Amino acid sequence: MRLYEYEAKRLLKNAGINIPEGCILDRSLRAEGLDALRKPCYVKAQVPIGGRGKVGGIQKASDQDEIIEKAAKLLTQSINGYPVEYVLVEESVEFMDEFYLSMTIDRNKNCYTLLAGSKGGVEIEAIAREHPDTIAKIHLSPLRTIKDFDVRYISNHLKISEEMLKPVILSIDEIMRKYDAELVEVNPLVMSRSGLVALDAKMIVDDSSLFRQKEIASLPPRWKMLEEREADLLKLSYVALGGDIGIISNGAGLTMSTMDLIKNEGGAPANFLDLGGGAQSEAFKRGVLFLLGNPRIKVLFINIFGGITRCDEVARGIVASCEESKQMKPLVVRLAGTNHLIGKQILEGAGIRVYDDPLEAARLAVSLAGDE
Amino acid sequence: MLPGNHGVLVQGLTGREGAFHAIQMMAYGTKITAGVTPGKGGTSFENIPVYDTVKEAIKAHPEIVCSVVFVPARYANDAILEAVDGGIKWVVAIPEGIPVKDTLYLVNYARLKGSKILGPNSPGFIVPGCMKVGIMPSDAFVPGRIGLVSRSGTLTYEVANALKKKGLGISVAIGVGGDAIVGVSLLEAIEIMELDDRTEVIIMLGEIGGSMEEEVAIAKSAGALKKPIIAYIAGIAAPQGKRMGHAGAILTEFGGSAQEKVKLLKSAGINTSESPMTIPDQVMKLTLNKNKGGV
Repeated sequence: MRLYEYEAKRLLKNAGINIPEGCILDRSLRAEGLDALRKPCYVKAQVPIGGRGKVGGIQKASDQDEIIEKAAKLLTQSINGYPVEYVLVEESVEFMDEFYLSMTIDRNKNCYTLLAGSKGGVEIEAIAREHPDTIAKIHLSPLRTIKDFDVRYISNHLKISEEMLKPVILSIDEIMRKYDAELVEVNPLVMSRSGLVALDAKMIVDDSSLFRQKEIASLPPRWKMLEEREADLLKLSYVALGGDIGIISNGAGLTMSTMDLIKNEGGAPANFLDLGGGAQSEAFKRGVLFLLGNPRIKVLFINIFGGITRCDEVARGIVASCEESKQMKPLVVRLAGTNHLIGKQILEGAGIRVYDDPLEAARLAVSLAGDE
Repeated sequence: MLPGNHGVLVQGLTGREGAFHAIQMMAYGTKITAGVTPGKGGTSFENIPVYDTVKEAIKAHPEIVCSVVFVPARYANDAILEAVDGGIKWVVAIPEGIPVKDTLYLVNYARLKGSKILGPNSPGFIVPGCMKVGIMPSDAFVPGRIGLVSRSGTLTYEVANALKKKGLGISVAIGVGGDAIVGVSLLEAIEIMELDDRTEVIIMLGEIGGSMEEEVAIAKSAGALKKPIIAYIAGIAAPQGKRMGHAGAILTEFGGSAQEKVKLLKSAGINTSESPMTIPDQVMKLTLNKNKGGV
């Protein structure tokens, strides 16, 4: 789960890192503390995606009226597909120098990685590509915490005194572990007259940890496309894509490869829907009905390899959803694995043809979508 | 080397999943000698003695070399730690949804203790005709000369089944797990197969996210891997920034797309397949060439 900038900054502040004075506006445009802010301010759209600066998501405003006007406008806009629900208004900070500092999980080395860059403000990928020597890296075993020698190394690289840098690095390490984060990034971290200040922050928390991260789990819900929100309510592992061929499969890998199969045959997958290991007929019924109700979808491609999942359960779910649905669409079903013959019998009894070969089935689904 | 069929411990033996799969594993020939369920010590399940702790199980059954964990994700951290501290060299972690911070700690701790963690979010491993430790549907696997290593359970079954239909069998299949951090990487699994005399050809089923496939490409380029490899990467059609089911299957701005992986694998001399369904034909071509004195 990606936090909004203001949420990440609140955690930084609680851990002792300086952030600019600021306040949050929602669509009511009421904010306590707006009067007290020293102008000019920055008005920053809060969206869980990068690159907002390039599309006008961050604007400078010189007085209260301009702040309200710019905030109101941003709150009616979408940025990179995400509607702006909150705006952060912050005092502008004068600074002499800017840096990059982050902690992340290295999937290759199975450790934490602390990255420190002497060029801040730019995207880290661009810095890494164009100026790799400006980045210092520490691979940190999860079996230990940050030590003074780590700080000394980064301090020498960034040319910031150990005394100033140490509390910032320790706080980032603390937040990373305390909140089960996958990424804590401060970019830029600036040197102002009063010391180091985090001007922007990005943080991603591990979804699998939300059962114990009560504080994070209780944050306001993130915006999602309507169909993804509905899928959440139905507890479906679902991702919306752009196309018109609805996909149901079991297992993340098989579902992805089913999408690929459709794409390779020239079709456009409408979604990723993994009904997982051991799903019962009820889950399949819900899944099929959910996709049948989506107007974007012309054809449904159901590709199941039964392991823990039993094909007879799948078949019963499909038949039940067909009986209940008011808007039938062409179905292409491929079954293999556990109990696939019983599943086939059930479906063919209801007049639904079943395929053995996924490639043949995918080709049919693509041609059916094209015919309409 | 994978553990032999000497003694397997099932943690969470009396739970729904543990009980179901323990029976399946025994039916396949796996020697399950003990189970652990806190609070049920002293009882038995299907003639397997149950203990409260791993320590007690090991004391009574020193032959145990491998544990398979069916404990629900939020308690799995302790269960895996208990197995590692008990000195068990192979821990197969089935549960999905263990927080990545816990896995990070476990994997590093296990390395210090000289243990290997397969998974988490792994379907386990199977040596067809001999033993399986995990949840793979046995029917799809017949004995043969192909090593299968994968980040995805169902995709493994799909490919094993497609091979079976063409009369091709499997020497060993290892599911490394779908999480972002796993204890045994694709490369380590392939290295196991490099040393396994029964394995002639290796199939690698990768997916988007992370850089385990890149690691394999680098090792192949460096000449460290001798056996022919055929790879398929799932997720050509996946968008950026969305988690595709598996916690590890997420495409970030730091790379890890299927296209990039395929390109790297190809340039390392690894055969890539556009679809899991075309893999059997590719294997047949390779082995045919081999019989003619080729690869």
